[in-house]
Amino acid sequence: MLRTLAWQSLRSRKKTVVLTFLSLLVSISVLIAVEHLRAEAKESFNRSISGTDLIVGAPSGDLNLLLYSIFRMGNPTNNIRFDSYEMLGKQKNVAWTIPISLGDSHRGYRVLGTSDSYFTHFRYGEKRSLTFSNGQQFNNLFEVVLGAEVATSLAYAIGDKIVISHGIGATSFKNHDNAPFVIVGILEPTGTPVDKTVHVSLEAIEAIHLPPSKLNSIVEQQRFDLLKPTAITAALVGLDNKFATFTLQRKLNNYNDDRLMAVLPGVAMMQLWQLMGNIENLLRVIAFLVLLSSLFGLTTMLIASMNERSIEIAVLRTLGASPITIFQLIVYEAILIAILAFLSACVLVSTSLMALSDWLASTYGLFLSANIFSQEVLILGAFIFLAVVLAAIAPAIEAYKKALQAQLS
Amino acid sequence: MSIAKLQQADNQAIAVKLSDITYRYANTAPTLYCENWQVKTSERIFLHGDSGSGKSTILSLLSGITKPNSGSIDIGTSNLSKLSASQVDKFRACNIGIVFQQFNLIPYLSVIKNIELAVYFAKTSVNVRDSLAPMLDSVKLPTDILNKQVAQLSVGQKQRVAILRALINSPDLLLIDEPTSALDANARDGFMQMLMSMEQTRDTTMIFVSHDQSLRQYFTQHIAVSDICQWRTNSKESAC
Repeated sequence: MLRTLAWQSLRSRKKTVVLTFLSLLVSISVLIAVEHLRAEAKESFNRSISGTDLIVGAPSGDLNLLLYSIFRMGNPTNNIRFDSYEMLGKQKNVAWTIPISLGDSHRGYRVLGTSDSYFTHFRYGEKRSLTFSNGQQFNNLFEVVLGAEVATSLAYAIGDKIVISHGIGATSFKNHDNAPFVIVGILEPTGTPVDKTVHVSLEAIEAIHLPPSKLNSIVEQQRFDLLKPTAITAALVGLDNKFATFTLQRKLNNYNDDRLMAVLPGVAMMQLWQLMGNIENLLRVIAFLVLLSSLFGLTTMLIASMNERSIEIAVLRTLGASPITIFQLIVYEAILIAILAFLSACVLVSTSLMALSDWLASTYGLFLSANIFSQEVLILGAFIFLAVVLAAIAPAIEAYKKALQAQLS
Repeated sequence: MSIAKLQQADNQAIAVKLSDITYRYANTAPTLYCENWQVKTSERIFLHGDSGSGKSTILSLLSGITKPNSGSIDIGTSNLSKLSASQVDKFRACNIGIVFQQFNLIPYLSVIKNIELAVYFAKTSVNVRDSLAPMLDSVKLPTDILNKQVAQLSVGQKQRVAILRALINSPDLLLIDEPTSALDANARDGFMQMLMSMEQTRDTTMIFVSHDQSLRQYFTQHIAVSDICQWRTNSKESAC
């Protein structure tokens, strides 16, 4: 009965209640969205690489190496020699290696020079391997494999020809027009930077940087051995014995013939996340401040309603309602608004994510799940519930006092 | 023991007893003094007095909503002064029906919900619709009115619903405060006849408060508020 009374009472004050509800809806939606975005971003970052035990590159800092080799962000400061890469493959306990050569782009998308082992050994998410939605991996010099997002956003299909530009800008003044590439494969979406990558062979990277005459002569003579790279940007290394990771890392960091740096992806990822943590906390603080202002709105609405409800409170008292019952009624009302706002916010955020998922993926590379229900969101719900109860205490005390002084005529 | 049971033992048992009551609104003078006053069960008292004479305050004290500063109030065998606040609330819900000048129905609830509230707070197992069926006939209200919103009712209908709500728990004591003040002469007489005919079938003790002396014809006992309670100014405060 008390719940019915609370609900009907709220309905009788539609205008102020709806405004308070909307204010709470917006603030709770922001809070849930921030929390979900944070969790999904972390998940998205963490799924970018899996099963790789070491990333090896030129000394430039753990984070920098991780950013350019995995996330295609920033610029490598130096390269490692190709014979150093070959040395990696010969080390004890090394199961596989993947070469990475960066520095070129196609219409803003990074070009990655690599080898067959990329398609065989690279893992993301829960140790998932790369699969093709269309076509196959490159087998010839001027063949290219596109990440899912590149193909979708640029509307490319198998057989189309593309030109690679020098540098990484979306607009380049130096195109390798002499060497157009044929698209032979398009990868399935992975939700990782792979989707935004244009994959070619290491030899192709070498070829496009040659003078046209020299390239033509190599192609005519079929002397592809002359395209063996002299340097690459980085290498991913997988071990068959995880216990050997630190030994190999130490060995590579002390390698005398080349300046190498080996980092553990997990450790670098943690550093990256700590860096992101400040932004994450800032977003959280803003979201909580928005919620706080809405809770003040709720308190104001309930306190303001007390004057117009003095007769209602007195009626309930004459019927036998105790002051505590009146107190509970006000808290119920606040909880009802909060529950409605929370559920509506969940629906709003979920449907928005569903509606915007393609746009978020294509524009920002954010692969966000529409399922917002996680332990964090449930904890958030409990926190909001508690905060609403606290916000309702002042008006409930006001109602309690009115109940004690109730006079009817 | 309830007032009804007491009545079986003694037809002239005491239903209401005020003993040496003083009541003062917080930090304001004057003080209301009521020395001793008793009402026997089933009596119907017409309590009259001018505005500000203390009629509504007496009803508020009798209902237990207002606590006296000193003295005791007995309703049936229960001394309200000795009950805890929650016991008083429960006692009021179960044993006292109240009808006000403004009827004071909750406007956003339906008629049935307004009446159910009284049953809810009394925590009784009364089947509201079953109990209301004969009562609706008595007050000449159609059954379909139960699902209407209070805001849709006429003044006369609200008044009758207020009586139904006051009587639904079969209270031992009915307190009625100026219910006819907003009515014209015809409506007032119609209301009083209806109230009295309903009360004929019940043993409820009734205290009817009004400043309208023309209503005294409906009651056998007439008491002026000034005969039982007086406002006295605190002498110290007057001196100041």
